[in-house]
Amino acid sequence: MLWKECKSCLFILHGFINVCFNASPPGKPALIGCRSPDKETFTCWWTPGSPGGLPTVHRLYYHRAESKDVRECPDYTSGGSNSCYFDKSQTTLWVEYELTVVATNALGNATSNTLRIDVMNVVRPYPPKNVVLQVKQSNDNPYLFIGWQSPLNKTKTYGWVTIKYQLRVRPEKSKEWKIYDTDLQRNFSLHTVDPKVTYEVEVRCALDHSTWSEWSTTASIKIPGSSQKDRLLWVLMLVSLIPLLTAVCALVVKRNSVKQCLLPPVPGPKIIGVDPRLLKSGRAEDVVSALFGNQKLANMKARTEETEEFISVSDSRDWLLPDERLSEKVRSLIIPNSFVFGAKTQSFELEKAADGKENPVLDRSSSRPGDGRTPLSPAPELQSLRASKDAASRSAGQCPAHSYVDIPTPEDCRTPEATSDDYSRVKGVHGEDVLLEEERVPPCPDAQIQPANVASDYSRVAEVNSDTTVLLQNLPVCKERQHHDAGWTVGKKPEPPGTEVSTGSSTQLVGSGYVDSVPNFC
Amino acid sequence: MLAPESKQLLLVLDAEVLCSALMCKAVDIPDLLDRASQRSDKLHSLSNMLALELESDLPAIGRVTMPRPAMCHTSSLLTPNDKEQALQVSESTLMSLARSLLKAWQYPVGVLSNSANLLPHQSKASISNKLQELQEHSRNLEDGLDVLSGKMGPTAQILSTLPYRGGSDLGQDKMSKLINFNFLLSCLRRDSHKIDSFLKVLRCRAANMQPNLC
Repeated sequence: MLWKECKSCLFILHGFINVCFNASPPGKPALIGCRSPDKETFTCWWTPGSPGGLPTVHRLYYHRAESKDVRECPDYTSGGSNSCYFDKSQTTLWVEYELTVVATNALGNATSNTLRIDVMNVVRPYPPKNVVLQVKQSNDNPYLFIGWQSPLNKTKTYGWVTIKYQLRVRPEKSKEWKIYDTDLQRNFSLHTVDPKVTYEVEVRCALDHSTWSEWSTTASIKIPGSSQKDRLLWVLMLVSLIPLLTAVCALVVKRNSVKQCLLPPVPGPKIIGVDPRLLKSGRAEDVVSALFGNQKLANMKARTEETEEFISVSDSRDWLLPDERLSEKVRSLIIPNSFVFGAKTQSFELEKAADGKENPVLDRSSSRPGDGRTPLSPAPELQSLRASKDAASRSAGQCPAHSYVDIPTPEDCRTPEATSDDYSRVKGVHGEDVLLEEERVPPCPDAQIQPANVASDYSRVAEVNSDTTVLLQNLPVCKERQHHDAGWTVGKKPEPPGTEVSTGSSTQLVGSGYVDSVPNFC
Repeated sequence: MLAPESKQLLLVLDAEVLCSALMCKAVDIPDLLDRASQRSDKLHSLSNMLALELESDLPAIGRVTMPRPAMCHTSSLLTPNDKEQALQVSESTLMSLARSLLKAWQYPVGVLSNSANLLPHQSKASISNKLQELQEHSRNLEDGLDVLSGKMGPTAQILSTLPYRGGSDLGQDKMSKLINFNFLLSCLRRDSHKIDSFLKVLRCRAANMQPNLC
């Protein structure tokens, strides 16, 4: 009796205490939503209201749209706290569920909002699992291979559920994601990757056109810079530079010889016995000495080259003119044309003759009034020189070599490059006449011994009528015409007065001729 | 009068023709199912997009007054509602169900397509386009399933009639137009999901030795 009274007292006390300490019926819970990750089960969650200070129990009740059969949640634990898990047997698609949650405590209960769902509409898978990143090589280009696993355990691609995937990639520092759809595939190869960059990758999926899952955890990987390849490249570059540098050095050191090789000196006019350097100076005495007073003749070897003359006025095979008078004549026939020594005249070798004439020419040339030529008249001197040289060569029995001024070679030394086609032979001198030899077509001289072929300025002498007339001939051209403007700037077709050689013979300035078109030899 | 040898030859030839025809059938079905399920996937995708697009613009009052899905004209058709049932039901039945559902929507989709331009919605042009596309896919799928069902036996040929009683217009005023549009699209979304799921299960079952893993 007393005990019962005590119990009620305690109970009232308890209530008082509760009231004193703000106990109340539970607050209204709220159903948040449901989710079906596999189209076979689903889970619903709610948030409890204020607890009211007392232990509160939450219960979820549901019924399917067509039936009035209200059932309670079969599983409150599998989905976590404040959740209700519906397993396969409890899950029906394409049917509406009505759910409510009731919170109960000692002081009362509270009912949540009613949530109507169709499981079809709450399908949303969890993110894909185990995202794997690998850097692979394809033709020396790195690419990123991304692989992942389905959030479900099913093995078949098709069937009750169809999962499609989507991934996004971005370089570490960038804020922009690039999205790629992979449909049903569980891997993807990304080729647009740069070396030495770290990439982040996330994947998500959807079930039967459901809402997309959340993005998976970020996987990142750094594409290795092809350091090995880079190093190799650098090494190769350096190695290839070394020979280049040495070549450049060699070129610099030997630039002179290189210049010689690449830009061979253009031979200037080389007249035996004439030093162009003296001529360049322009002083009269220099010129004279250059042309006539060449004491270096003494040094001249018996070079057989210089048996070439401007005009061969010999009528015999052996066209050496021992007769000085003849040589004079010959000389007088030779009137070299505008003889301009180029600035680049090289110092030519002064052909030496064993017996040099003192200056026979000098007087003679000066004695010729009509010879309004420039002092550059090496011909007369040359002529005599040649004559002497020829003698020397003849005696030597050697063949003439070449020099700049064409001098026909003696007969018995006829080489294919004989330049005799530029000259006619003087048969003989008869009194005041010079008889020329029969013409024939000589072979063309070779380029080698084709010194200054100023033949274009000269015509062949066909016949010498009197000492005032020279008949020029039309020479048949040889097979190969080779003009050699070896540094001479010869006036083109100089038509000085009196070209028409009195008789008016065809002044055919064929290349093979060599008589200057001004036979003004008075 | 054919000689016995030639008769035998003819028989053999006939048998060969039959056999090859059968073999052709056996190879055709998975391929046809593959194509059919691709089309049904597209169909469901479109209806899903449409339903979501319109639902977002529906005011709360509309959602409340909207008829329940049980009111869809196809609700009377009993269909498998989960995976186990879908795997237990025969393939011909599944095909029949899919075809029935598809046929039931032939007319209502036309109504939706025609009413799209009158819809008081800002993106009605896009909605109209999607509906036209949907209609085309639906027709193509119907033809394809007709061919398929011909290869699957008599049960597949059964078509349940599910008449649509909604009328040719969707309502007089703006709100009822919107509500009816939404309701129809939600029904369509459900049924297109069913068709898609059934065909995909059929595809899996036809292509696999272990159908229970579908």
